[in-house]
Amino acid sequence: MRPLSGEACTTLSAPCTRLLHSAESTTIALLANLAGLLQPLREFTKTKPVWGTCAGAILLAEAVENPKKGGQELLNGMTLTVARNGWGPQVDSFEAPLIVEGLQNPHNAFTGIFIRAPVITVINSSPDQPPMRVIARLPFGVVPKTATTPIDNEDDPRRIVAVQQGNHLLTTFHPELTKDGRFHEYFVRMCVVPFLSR
Amino acid sequence: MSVPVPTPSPPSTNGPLTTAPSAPSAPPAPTRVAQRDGGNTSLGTFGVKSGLAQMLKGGVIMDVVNADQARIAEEAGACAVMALERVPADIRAEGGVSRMSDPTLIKDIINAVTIPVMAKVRIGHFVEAQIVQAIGVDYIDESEVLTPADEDHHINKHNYKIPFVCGARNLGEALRRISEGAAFIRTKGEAGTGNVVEAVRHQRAVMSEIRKASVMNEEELYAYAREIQSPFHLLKESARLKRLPVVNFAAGGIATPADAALMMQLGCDGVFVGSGIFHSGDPAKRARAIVQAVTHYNNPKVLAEISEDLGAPMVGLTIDKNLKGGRFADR
Repeated sequence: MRPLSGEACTTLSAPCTRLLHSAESTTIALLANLAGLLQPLREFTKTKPVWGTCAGAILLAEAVENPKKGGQELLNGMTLTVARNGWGPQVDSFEAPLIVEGLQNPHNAFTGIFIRAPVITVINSSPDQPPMRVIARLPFGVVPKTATTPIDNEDDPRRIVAVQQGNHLLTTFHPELTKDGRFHEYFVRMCVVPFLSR
Repeated sequence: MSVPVPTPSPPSTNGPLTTAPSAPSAPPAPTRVAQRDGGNTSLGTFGVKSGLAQMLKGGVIMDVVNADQARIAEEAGACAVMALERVPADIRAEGGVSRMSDPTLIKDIINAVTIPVMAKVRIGHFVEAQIVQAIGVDYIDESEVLTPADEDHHINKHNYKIPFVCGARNLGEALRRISEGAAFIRTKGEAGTGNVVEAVRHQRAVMSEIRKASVMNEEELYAYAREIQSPFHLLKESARLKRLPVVNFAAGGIATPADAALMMQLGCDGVFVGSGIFHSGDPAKRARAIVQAVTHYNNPKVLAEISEDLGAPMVGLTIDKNLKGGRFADR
């Protein structure tokens, strides 16, 4: 696994899986583009395991609401739409305990650190795509600032903060900022191992 | 709303969580804050404050004075912008007291871009900080570039829900700022000069003091903490990590891609560029080149390519006793 961020990265060779971890999605896309990596990354994402957190989650989506003016590049890896900065500015960034389906010790809450986090607004399930497996939702009372309609539906996509589709994993929060390795273990177990043993 | 007492240590989130999320049957409350209560969430923890700085690592933060400049910075790949009324070079040239920016200007910049927006407040001016937080700024710079409002005290930064960045010339100063609640440290350098010499001096001082501390035993660390006037636990943590316990950027005098890469090779996590961009001949091109320089700081071939044909750099100033505007770093 090799994390990819705004840091120096000029080749996309050997690794069989990628972590798109965070920074600003605009900066990552621009630097990837300047280094000629955007297209190789898209090709990579088509077939191989990828995990995107926060800004990486934005890159992994097929559409984005509230992009930077003039639009921004995406990797189009999962059939869902996210809203950037869906929780508002930094003053609204928060931590929340999450109950995550499929983690080890599932009854032990995982601390989700949401920093200017994106919000999932649309989930597109289609028969020719792997099924969407929602693995974590926010507690009912927590509502994004940008929400114009109340969240009163159990299945409202805006409550979803972690979702898996095939060998792709998306988290709108930052497991990499905690010392809790259970999400990393989940990614290897559910996305990477099935891919390697195929 | 439960806001835990922030402690100046890296976020540790493995602690036992005894409270379960609220029952789904709770009716939606009228305001979002109340809803947050229902969700058992915490705003403004040290985890989310220092976490944002982690997200800026490897990036460039640019000074901008209006929405157009902010857009140029965003398009160039800046990871954040610093909203202010005058860039440091103009503050130096024009003199007078410089203060927090007009909230209208800051709001215009917030509306123009999607990346985080920072704003400067005067050292010790905790009301300017309250105002800037209320506007919805993402990060506060308690900055020596503005005229200090308090010569003895810095702001108690634990009291805010948004994080602070502070300048430092050496390890003791950096750790004092962290103990006051700063979630992010930058070198002071000498802002508005286009001369990188002071930023180099400060970064080298911090790194050399950390290297020194990293081979000390506990007794020596106690004595060293007293000598550099730093809290013992933060010194011990820096010695263990062999770096500052928070993100550490370069600032104050960076004007070229080579300057930016120099600071990165000296161990900085990223770079602030103030007057260097919008006081140069071709701001958009220079901004993009500096962003690339911070990404490819260890690759001289790439650095050579991006340094080509950038137009005139800002005019630099020699730092001596005749420096117009005086030394900001001593504030």
